[in-house]
Amino acid sequence: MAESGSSSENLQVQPDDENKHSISVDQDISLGNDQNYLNGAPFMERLLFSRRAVFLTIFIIVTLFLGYQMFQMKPEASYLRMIPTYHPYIKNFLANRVNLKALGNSVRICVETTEGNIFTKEYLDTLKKITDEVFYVPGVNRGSLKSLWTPQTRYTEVTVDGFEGGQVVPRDYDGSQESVDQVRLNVLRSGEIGAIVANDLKSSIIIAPLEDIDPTTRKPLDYLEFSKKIEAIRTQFQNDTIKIHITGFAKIVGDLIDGSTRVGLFFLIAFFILLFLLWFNSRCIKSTAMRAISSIAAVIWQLGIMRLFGYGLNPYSMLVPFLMFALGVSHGIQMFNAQAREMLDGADKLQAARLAYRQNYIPGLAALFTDCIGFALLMTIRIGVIQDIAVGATIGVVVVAVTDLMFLPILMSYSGISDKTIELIGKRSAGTNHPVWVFLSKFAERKYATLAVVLAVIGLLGGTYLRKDLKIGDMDPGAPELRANSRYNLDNAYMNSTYSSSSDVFVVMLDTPPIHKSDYTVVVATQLLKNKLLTLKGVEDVVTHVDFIQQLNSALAEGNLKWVALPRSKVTLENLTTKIPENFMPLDSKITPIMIFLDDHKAETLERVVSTVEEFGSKYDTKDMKFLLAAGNAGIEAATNIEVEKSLMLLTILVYAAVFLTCLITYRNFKSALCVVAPLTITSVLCEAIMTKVGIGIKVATLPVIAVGVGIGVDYGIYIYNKLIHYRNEQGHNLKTAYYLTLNTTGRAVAFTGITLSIGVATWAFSPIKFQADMGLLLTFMFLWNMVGALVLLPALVHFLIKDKKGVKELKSLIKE
Amino acid sequence: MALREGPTRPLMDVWFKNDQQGIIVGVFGMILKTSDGGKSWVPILDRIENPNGYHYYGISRSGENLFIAGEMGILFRSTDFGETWEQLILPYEGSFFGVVGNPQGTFVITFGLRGNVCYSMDGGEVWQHKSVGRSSFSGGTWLFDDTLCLVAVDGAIYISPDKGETFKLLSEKFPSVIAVAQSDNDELTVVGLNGVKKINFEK
Repeated sequence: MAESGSSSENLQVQPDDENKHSISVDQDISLGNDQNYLNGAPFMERLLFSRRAVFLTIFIIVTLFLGYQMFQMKPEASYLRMIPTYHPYIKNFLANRVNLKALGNSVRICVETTEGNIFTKEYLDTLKKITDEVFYVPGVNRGSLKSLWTPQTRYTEVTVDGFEGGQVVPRDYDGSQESVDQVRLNVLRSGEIGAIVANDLKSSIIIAPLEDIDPTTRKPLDYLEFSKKIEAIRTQFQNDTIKIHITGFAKIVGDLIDGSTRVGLFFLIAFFILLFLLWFNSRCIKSTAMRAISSIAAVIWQLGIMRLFGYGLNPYSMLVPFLMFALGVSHGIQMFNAQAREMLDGADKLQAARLAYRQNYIPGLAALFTDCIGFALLMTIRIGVIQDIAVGATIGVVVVAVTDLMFLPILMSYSGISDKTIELIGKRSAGTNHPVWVFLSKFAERKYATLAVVLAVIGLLGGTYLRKDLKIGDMDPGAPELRANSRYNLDNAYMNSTYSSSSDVFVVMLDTPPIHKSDYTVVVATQLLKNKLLTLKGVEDVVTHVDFIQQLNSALAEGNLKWVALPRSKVTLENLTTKIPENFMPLDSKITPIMIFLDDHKAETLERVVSTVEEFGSKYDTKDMKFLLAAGNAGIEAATNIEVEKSLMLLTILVYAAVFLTCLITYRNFKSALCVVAPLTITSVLCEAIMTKVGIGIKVATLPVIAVGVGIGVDYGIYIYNKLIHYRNEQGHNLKTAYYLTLNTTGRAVAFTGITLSIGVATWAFSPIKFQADMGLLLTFMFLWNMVGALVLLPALVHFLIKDKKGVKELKSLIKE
Repeated sequence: MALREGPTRPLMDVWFKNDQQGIIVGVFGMILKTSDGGKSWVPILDRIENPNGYHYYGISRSGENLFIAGEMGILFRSTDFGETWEQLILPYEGSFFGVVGNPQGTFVITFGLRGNVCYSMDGGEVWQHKSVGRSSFSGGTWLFDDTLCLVAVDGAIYISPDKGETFKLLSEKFPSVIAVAQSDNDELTVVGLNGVKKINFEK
């Protein structure tokens, strides 16, 4: 029998105790007898194992069928699913999208020469060829294609006789030096410098507006195909002296989809690492293969089912299979351990599989249930891709329940475990001096427990202090979906630095009936808003229809700058308004855009713009004149930031409440629930502190991290707590010894779980897609640190809080290990 | 007519003889006079013959003469500080956006569309025409040391120390400049659509 001394250097435990782990409080299953073990078998076990061949066949057929479905899945990236479409700003945008031609869905192809400037025959020839190639790419709106060569690119000049103008590249261009000089002159007169010609004259841009519906296929534009064709042009024309940069939303989507396909590679890497670890731990090829099969089946089923429901693979939802695979592996370990122990006791492979099933299916279901809660709560966030994760993961958890608790036991009942492995496991369990467990078990005693609690409090306080600098949204320039040094963002940075434009555009929609567009009050209000916005830090420039009116006013007065002003005459205003370019402001639309060009899309900059416009609107909006938020990529990001910030608070509260409630119901004791949940809170706080240090903000991608990290992290605590209480209360050991025993059995499984989950997500850190990398980094941290918390802090808390052994009640049917 | 229209006609330039008497000119032939330092203004269109209502863009004094320059090459001179006006015919028919002259009356220059200037060294009797640069001139001033400065809409700043014989282009530019004044011995201040800037120069 074990000693119940207060502190002991050597743990004296009889190995026999190990066999008792399989006892439930009510029943006594003794082994070694032949068929006695069949008594008391629950219904599910009898059903499953008496017809195991049938079930095996069913599972194999299902795997093949769903596998076929899975291979039909295509990667996709729908913009609308990544933004909060229920937010009022986004609703405004979507309602008025048709009228916002100025925004346009276009791709910009910048052709740079590294030798001299663009006014050479060679450059102009190359530019013409590229323009022609782009013209023929399906999806390009040919009538609106713009480059130096297109007829719509003109210069105008005010002369004595009025306006004089012509095409920048004249029809009689012949490549001679005179022709090239003429083009140079025309470019200087055209006002295109800074627009489609760089300020340093070393490059020019081809603007290719896109059709939403491909006119040849009548279907929505296939971004991946489009992106590939544009890339082919880049490859074709780049050489020593010509460099090509490409930006535009369609290119981002194309790069996202392209980057996503590499995710398959990461999966393979994670798969092989985990496979190796499983084998290394067990040294048994048979059981490792079985576990691999059931875990892969989980992935195949999850993806196949998603495909049946009509889902595609987007850069967010494609991460769910990683999690499911890791979950499958970690739960499979429990089955394996249980079966190994039964076989150690002398059971044959079928018996052992049945007993392992019997012991594990309820705790397994309970643990998967808590995992599920975290995912299901993600449905409260009304952003498409997050809800996709919620659906995919919930389905995934159900699938893991079936594969781990039905498919795997059947497979293991056929394969068994090699004798060598059984021996190995026997040796491990018998040891009493495993150094790591001995060290960790110290945390169940006063001295180290105090240390653990003190460190935890320091961590909590330190993390809370650091996390006040937590930022919302994205802080790096360029497309937030891709890395700073991705080709897209490098191209974007180049174009921003050499042209007078910014890629961060925030659009305010002036909502006014067409007949009121030229009212003096509307025009003055617009100008007033523009002036206010120009004073804000972060605002580079503001373009409104009033600017056009003023410039046209001056143009009609021979370009005299003193005429760049707002006329008060209604007739003049109306007249000038009709001359505003249609693709900035369609004359009959009730929406006029106010384009705000920003230095960056940091949350503070966006907030300043939002609050300025909100304040202005509340003061000056009338029935016939409303300043609506928001459109443009920066406008959408502002709305997303607001939504994400709100959701973070809600989600954190819900997840913790749900997990705490589950523990309360399980243990019917507040202190017990606290022991299990408290270590998680420290991890959450530290995770946010890390985010501030590393420069990751709260955004759509990092929101699910809380739910997933906590929802899965609570598993460790439940396993350990259950075992710990079992050894202390039911077997009467002191806490330290009980904890050692817990560690020796469940501890190894918990450590393995922590490592497998972390590996499952850690490979994402290498993804070219920034938000996948961010998610991977944070989840790895959360899984590992939750493991540490459960192994170190939980016993310390139990030491201080759960003193009275008799006072603890457990839901008896949950403790069967 | 002017009063009935209300404030819809932009005014383009102003000149004051002293702190009481001044004249302001604007578009469509608008011209007003004040005798009380600007508190009240009276239209004096009847004194100047502009039947087509061409815009007046500049009014400036040079010696004892007052000049108004405007659209379509019109130029008016008054020898009695605005009581009566006569039209002068210049060798250029394009629009002038301003007029500037030296205090001695020995040089007056009108400047305007696409770099065209006309200048006279005898108070307006004989005029010469020149083309300086390609961009329309928007403003000008006479510098302390008998030097002319003109600014153009593309930001070019010209100095002429020899009464229009030569024009030197400064290296610094200020795009969309509208007016210039001398703020120090070697410093100009320019204003325009892009704000204010100080520019150093050498003669």
